[in-house]
Amino acid sequence: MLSSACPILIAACGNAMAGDDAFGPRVAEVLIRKRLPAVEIVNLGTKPGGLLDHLPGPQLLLVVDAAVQDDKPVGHLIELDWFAPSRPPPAHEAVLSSHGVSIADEIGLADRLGMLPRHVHLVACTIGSTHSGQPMHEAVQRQVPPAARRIAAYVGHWLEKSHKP
Amino acid sequence: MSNSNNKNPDTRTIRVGAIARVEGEGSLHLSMRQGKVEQVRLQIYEPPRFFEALLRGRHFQEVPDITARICGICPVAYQMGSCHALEKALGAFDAVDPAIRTLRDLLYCGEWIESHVMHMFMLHLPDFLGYQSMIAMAEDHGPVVRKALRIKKAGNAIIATLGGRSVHPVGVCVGGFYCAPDPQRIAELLPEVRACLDLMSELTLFLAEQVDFPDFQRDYEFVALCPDDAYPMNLGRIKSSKGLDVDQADFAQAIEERHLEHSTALYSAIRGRGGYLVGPLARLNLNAEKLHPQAAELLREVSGTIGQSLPWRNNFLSLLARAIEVTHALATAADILEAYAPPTRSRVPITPRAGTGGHGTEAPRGICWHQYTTQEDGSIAHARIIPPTSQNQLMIEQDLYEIAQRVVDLSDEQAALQCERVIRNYDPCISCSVHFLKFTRTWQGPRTPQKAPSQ
Repeated sequence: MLSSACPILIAACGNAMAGDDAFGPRVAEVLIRKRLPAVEIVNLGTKPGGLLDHLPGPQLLLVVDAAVQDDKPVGHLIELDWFAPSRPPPAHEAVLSSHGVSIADEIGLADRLGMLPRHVHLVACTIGSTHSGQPMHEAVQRQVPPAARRIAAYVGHWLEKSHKP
Repeated sequence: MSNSNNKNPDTRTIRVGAIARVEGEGSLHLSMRQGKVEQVRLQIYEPPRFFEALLRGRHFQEVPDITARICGICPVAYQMGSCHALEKALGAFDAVDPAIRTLRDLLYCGEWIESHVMHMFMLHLPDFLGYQSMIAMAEDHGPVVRKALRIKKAGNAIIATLGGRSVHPVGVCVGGFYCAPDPQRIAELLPEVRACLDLMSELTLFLAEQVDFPDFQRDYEFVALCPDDAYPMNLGRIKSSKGLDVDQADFAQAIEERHLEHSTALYSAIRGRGGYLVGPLARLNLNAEKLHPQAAELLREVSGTIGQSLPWRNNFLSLLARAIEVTHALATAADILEAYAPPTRSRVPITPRAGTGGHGTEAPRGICWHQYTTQEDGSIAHARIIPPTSQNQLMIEQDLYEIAQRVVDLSDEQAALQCERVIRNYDPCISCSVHFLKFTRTWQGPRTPQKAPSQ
């Protein structure tokens, strides 16, 4: 019913009405306008627990989210493989999510149940305030177009690679 | 996550980082004297979001979309509460077609299914089966989790069919829906909903047979909508197990909301009596005879298995109450889908006018009551929203008071875990009501050994 028939799933997380937490949804809006081939884009909004509704099926999952990294300034773009040993552990659920099930939990559960695509890639931006009703920090806002471009490029490379014999 | 400060043998503080597997942030402080609980305080520190103020001056038709943003888990409850209350304010309540009301019930079925299943199998069941998280539980109970995920997905599919999308749906408007669902889409949903109904019956019996529920009987005043002819969702007078019986519009006069210094949320109490409990346990205890026949049959089987007939006064049994309600919602949804024919109109026309209307509907966590005053041009002059978790807050504190006395001899970490379990019985939605949980326990005077908890 909701499961994706596309090989690539882009899942954006965040509260569009809560300052810098809107990063993911804003990137998703830009990506939707790009009409990328073979891609389904879902805005999970404040309900990351909806990710599993779209799995299994896709071979590549791209997660777009807000991030907190103490040693980086607000507005720093992070891009990494979810399974890379160098990936820092997810922030405690209460820090970034008040929605019971975090995106890290969803990915962990999908992995445990064998529903996760082999390739999971995270694109995130370090953020400052997540207060309701606040606008996005300018430094975060500036990273929306570059993040969308990076994702589009990643999708292009991945499709090219996956079509090679 | 907990740590202790045990340098002074007479005083002890346990701190638990923001509690996992509930929604929102806050802290719990237990003050102990001579081994007894002196004070329980839920300190709510998540900042209020001022939605009621935000609505002032907005056009009435914007309200369902704005209030849906209060919660990512139960947006339908906020949409239904606002639509019904505004239809009363605008004089259109009685004009809403039965077919539209049926579609609203279908939408609510989707939300109950999705929200309840997520709470039961991802957030609550790990407590009962002794796992730290759903991920750990999935290792040993993969088939159970897979079935639950399939059912949750069906709930979301129902919401998406009527609301346009499952996250913050946008298909609802004051007067009905922006458009009625396509019969083809409805037909596609039906077999999956039927399949999920069978799965849910299996899972409910699994819970009844496998879960050992702690003994925790309390004399709650249960409060729920009580329609004459159906299990409650959107309509009905508001009644209680101890004699409250009011029209929807009078609910705000029957209760009082108090602000306490330690919380950013309001505490609700029935005037002259005190705290009360809303949610699945209250609904089931007050309305069991109106369950869908398939859910009623399952309830009989479950009651026999656990050896307890209604009323259930143990809030740990809310796990089973939710399971029965999911079965009811799936069976009701299947009936509505099967009988579906596109309505002659998807919404009734609304003419702006000045007025006031109050109405509550049954969110997964309990009554979500809204009141609006509109001006001549249809803009909002005043809004008031009483979410279920703030109504349950006093009961949560009282439950914690009880459980805290049973955990005196437990280690800090185990004591904190017991308190968290009690809180998760309520499936609290702090995103909605602005709260929850860090845990501290301080001791004054010598600790007197007390009886260990039964679980």
